[in-house]
Amino acid sequence: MKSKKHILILEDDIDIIKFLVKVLENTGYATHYATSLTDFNSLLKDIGPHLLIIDFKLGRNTSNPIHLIEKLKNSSSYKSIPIFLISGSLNKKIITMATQLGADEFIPKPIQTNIFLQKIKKSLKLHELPEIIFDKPKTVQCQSSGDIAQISESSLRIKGPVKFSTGVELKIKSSLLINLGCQVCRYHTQSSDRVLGPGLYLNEIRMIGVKEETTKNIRLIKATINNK
Amino acid sequence: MTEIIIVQIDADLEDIVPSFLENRKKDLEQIEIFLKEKDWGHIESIAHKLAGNAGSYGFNELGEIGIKLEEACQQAQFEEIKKYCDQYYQYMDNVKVEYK
Repeated sequence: MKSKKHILILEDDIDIIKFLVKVLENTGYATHYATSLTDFNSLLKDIGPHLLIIDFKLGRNTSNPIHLIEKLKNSSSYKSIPIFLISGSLNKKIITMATQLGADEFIPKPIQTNIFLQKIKKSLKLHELPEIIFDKPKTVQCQSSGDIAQISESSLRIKGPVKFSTGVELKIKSSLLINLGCQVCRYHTQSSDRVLGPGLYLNEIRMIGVKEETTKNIRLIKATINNK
Repeated sequence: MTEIIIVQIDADLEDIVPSFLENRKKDLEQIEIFLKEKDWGHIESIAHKLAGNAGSYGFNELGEIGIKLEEACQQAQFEEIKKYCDQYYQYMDNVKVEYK
């Protein structure tokens, strides 16, 4: 299933915002909106949208967004995001300038819903990044915290937010394991045998290179617990 | 006798049309104040938004009033401004929405 495309709107007319949100979400897009440049910049960074819709006349005392378009198109992070400029004024000079700076579409108000949605669809398709499939899966490294839920002389069960593949070598930092004398042990995942809840897994870890002293310490813990 | 203006609106917009119409009533309250103050700038701003949003929802005639009111404000033509503000009031008093 493909994930939703995110569209960020910069507009100060709440009725136009509601209208855009309605028609875009009905079509299956995820929408976000800002009524000021400050909020827009912050959302832009947080969301990383697929498309931007910018109102040309943002408030009576606000400068036109030509500078914003220029800034976005000169930014290595945002230059590939298509920009739709919407406006009630059909000033040819401004449209030409906005297009030259990189605005991808100019949508006049009142908005003709069908034409508008067709243009959005076309633009998103045009700017779609190809899916990259690696012949050999790339290795990723991650660090996470977890709880030791169970220990035996040769294995551990760790409860945590990561579901590991079988045979992955782990580095475990644990004061319990240090106290048991496991400094030289290596840890390999055996299986992720239980899903405990959303985002919580119980992974079985095989301990390799366990010294006799360590196994004795583990037996002593077990005996202590059993005697309680 | 005033004639009722029936406007057919896309049923998909049914849940956002009431708040749109409520906001137009708020516009009219503000316009009344700005008319007394002869503050054409603020009326122009309201008219500019009306010109863009009304037609998008499907209230094309109201959008046309917005365009004419905006132009009248830009030219500071008091009589024209008054005329289109009156048309705005009348429209809002008589509009009836049907969803299709």
